[in-house]
Amino acid sequence: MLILAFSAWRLSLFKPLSFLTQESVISAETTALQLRFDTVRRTGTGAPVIKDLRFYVHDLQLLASDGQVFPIHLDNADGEHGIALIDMSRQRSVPLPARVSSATLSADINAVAFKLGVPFALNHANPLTARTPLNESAMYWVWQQGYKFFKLDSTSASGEGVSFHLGSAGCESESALRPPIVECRYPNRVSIVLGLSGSEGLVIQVNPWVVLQAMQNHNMNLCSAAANFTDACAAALSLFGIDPVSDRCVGDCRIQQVFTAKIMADADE
Amino acid sequence: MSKRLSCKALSCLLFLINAACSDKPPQKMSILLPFDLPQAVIPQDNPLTKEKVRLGRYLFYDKRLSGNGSMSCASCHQPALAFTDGKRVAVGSTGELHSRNTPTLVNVAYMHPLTWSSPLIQELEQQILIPLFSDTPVEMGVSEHEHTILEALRTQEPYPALFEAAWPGQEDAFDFNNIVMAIASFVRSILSFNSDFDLYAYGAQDTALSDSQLRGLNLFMSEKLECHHCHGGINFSQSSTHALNNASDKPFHNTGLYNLHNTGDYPEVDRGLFDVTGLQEDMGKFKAPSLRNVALTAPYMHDGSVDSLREVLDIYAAGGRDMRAGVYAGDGRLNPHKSVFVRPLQLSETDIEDLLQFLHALTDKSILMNENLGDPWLNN
Repeated sequence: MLILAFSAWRLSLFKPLSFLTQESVISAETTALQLRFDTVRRTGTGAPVIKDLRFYVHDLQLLASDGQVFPIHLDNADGEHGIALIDMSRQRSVPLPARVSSATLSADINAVAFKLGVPFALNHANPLTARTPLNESAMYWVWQQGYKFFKLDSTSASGEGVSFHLGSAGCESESALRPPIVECRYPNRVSIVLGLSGSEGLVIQVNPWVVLQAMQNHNMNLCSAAANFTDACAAALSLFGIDPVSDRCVGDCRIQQVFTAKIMADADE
Repeated sequence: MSKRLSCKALSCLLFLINAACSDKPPQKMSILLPFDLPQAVIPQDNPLTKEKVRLGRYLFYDKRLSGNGSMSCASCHQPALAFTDGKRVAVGSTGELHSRNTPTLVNVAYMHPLTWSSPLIQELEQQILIPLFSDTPVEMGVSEHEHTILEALRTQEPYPALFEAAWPGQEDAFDFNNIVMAIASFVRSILSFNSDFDLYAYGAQDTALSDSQLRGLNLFMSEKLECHHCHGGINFSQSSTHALNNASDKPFHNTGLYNLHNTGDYPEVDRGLFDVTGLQEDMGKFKAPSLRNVALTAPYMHDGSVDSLREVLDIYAAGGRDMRAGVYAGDGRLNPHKSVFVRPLQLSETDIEDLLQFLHALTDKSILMNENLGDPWLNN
């Protein structure tokens, strides 16, 4: 059985109810969740230099072995969709203050799930008037009239720029003067489900190196389109679990290789 | 004075009418077009005002609007070249090469959709985000520099008064949404209907075109050449719409420029509509651009790979481009995605000369030196 550790909820206005003994419990309903994103460390010479690594996540959940689903509420996320922009350009570790239902304390949590990207309903509005974190101009993907869900820019050992940008592609408008109202042909909005083991706080690790390696293997410096557009894109997108033909998650979305979940004690800190 | 008389009498045919005085809020501006030509459709959420057009003109010519201060909109869209740059492909502020040839902005108010191949980008307010913010490649490179740029504009005369006039009473009008709306408004005022062709076609001046130009016009419009199917309407482009007609459903065409590996592929650097839709049938499909001022906008095609109008005509006469050598070798004439209208034509040397003469009749010299469209900073 897996138990997640929860840290004290310092900003809470609520005092723990007396019959609950866990120090992290901030109300009968809500508990602080210690959560962060880390970049996998890469050592050795000749490694590419990451210039930019940013991605949107939303709809984060803890999953229990009995099928219960507990939404993770991000403190600094946008509105009802709970969208967060994880910016790993300048730091290897990004804490994400969050709360979950206190019922998770007694549940057998065995996975964390989230969606990579921006929900369709918000993906095609005017970015200049959008709220944080959807007002980040580097994340606009004007060619496809949406956002870059996952933006990875690096400089290779030989000094060349290498970019991988993931986002919805193949979008069509219902009318010539309206944004798309039906989902794009290649949504590329990836559902990630990560198995958990351990006993400390939750760390989601992102591995940009496998993506860069896939592109290098195909001698391609830019993938900024949908899965079937080029071999390099297909290889890179398959790392996210996206099948180039069906353009859907392969299996149960657990075969992707970019994200892993760890528990803090096990993470390479 | 009648409308027709005024058009004949003045070299500049466009009148910007605005009732607004300095102490009144901006009012919708209407543009009086010559020959009763139909109006462009302006988005309801960005009505044209004289104040926005004026501000947009300063912004259009301002290099402060780039990440490193080296580039303005006008760097690529130069009035003397009908708002193009004469280069094969555009060069961004950091030196990166674009994959595409800079399109003209003349009469772009009528163009929907915009850019060479996107069905998604219907309005200038969307399109302008590409040169400002795109990073594949970097064009003006504004991303991550927004704050610095806005602070620079805030203290630069005459911007405070211009922003206040465009959005009176707005607490802080210095933001990129307003900047984009102002530039879009100025660009919509770049209008040209004063070519010899216009005088002949809409002004009913029988002597405006030479005999050769008339023969070229008739060839252009003929079912033998079929040019007008894609290059039709008041702007010689299927993507041109106005208040009295509807947009074409899919105004994108493969003209047989490439045929890599005999599979119909275009170079991976730019495959047109395919890169947007991911559908094989859309391989190599691009928009038919406006032909207004086409004699001034060389080189040609989406990638600037054709140097002269004569070569363009030769390619169409051959029913596509057969590239015998190089990394892009392939017989474009056999491209399976090619438009049915691009097929071999029997053209004499006289025919080609007449067509060239006709295309030169689409040049409007008044647009190149129009005092309302030039660089306002030169007078400061």
